Amino acid sequence: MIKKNILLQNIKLILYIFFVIILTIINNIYFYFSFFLFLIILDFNFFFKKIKRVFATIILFNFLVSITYSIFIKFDLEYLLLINLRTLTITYLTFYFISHINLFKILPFSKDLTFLLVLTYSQIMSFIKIFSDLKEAFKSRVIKKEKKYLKLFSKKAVNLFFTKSIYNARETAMAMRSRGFFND
Amino acid sequence: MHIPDGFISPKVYIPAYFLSSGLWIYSIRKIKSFLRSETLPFISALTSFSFILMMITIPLPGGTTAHCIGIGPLSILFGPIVSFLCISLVLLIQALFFGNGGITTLPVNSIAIGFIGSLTIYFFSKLFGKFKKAGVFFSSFLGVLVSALILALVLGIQPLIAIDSNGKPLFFPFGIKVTIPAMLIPHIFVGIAEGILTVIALEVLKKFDKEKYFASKY
Repeated sequence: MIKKNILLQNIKLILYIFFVIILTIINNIYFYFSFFLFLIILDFNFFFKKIKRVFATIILFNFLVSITYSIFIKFDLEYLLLINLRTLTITYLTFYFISHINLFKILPFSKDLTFLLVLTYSQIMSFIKIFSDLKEAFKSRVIKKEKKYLKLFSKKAVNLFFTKSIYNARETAMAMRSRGFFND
Repeated sequence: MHIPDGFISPKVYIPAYFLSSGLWIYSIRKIKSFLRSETLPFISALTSFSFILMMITIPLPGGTTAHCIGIGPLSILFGPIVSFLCISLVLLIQALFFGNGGITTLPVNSIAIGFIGSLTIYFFSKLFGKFKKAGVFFSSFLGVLVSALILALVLGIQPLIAIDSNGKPLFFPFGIKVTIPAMLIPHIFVGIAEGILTVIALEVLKKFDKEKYFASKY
C-alpha cells in the first residue's frame, strides 16, 4: 500500500515535470490559454482560492517586466500575453501539483535529505511566525527608524532566531537519535 | 535575487538541471559525513535563517528581486558543498510552497546562489581569514555580487538564444547591457546588508563549541 502510494506520487511528479517542460517548449498563447482552462476545470472547487495565491506570487514581477518592456522597447500584446500566460499557467500548475502530492514522500532516495528537508521545513514554519511577531514588535516600539535601533534589533532578532531554532532542532535531533537515525 | 518561472528558456534550464543534478548527487553523498546529532540542528537552523532572509524581497525592474541570501554562515561554518545543498532545499521549498523563484529556474538559481555564491564566500573567507570580521564581511559581500552577476548573465543571454522566427524574444526580453547594471547596482547594498548579517550571525554562534558543532573553524 505504502509502495503503491509512493509510486503514485512519483508518477504525479513525472507528469508535473513533463507538463512544465512542455509549457516552456511550446510558445503559443492559445496553448497556454487552453492548458489554463483545463487546469480550471480540473481544480474547479479550489480555483478561486488558488488563483489569489498565484496572482499574489507573480503579479509584481510580471507587471514590472511587462511595463518595462512596453515603455522601453515596444507595446507588443502578443509577447506580453505569452510571458504572462506562461508564468500564470506554470505557477498554477505548481500549486495544483503541490496540493496533490506529499513532497516528503517523493524524496525517499535519500534518508538524510528527507530528514534535513522535514526539519528545515518545520523550522521555516516557526520562523515565519517569529519573524512576523518581531516585525510587529519593532513597529510598535520604535517610532523613528534610527540606525542604532535597527542594528540592535537585527542582533537581538538573529540571536532569538538561532537560540530558538537550535533548541527546537536539538530536541528533534535527540528524538531522531533515540530512533536510530544517527550512527554516531 | 532568484529568477521566477517562465523567463528562462529550456535551452538553459535543461542543461542547468543536468549540471546541478551532478552537484546535488555529490553533495548528498558528502553531507552524510556532516550530519550528526550535534550538527544537524545548526545546519537546519542556518538553512531556515537563509530562507527567512530570502523572503524579504525588493522587486527590481526587469523581473527579478533583491534580497539577502544568508549563505555566509552556512558556507563559512560547513563549507560550500553543504551550503549548496541547503540553499537548493530552500529554493525548492520556496518554489513549490511559496511560488518564489520557480521549478524551471531552480537549477540556475541553485548554481548561481548556492554553489558559486557559497564557493566565493568560502574561498574569500579563507583568504582573508586573519582579518576576521572584515574578512567575513567582504567575502559575504562578494558572494552576493558574484551570484547576482551570474544571474544577470543568464537572464541577459535569453534574448540572444530564445527568439522566434521574427527575432522577437520568447522569454526574458532584456540583454546583458540592461541586466548587469539592473542586478549589480542594487545588490551592492544587498551585499553590504548580507555582510553585516553574516558578521552578526557568526557573533551569535560564537558561544557554541566550533569543534563539536561545525565542520570548519572561522
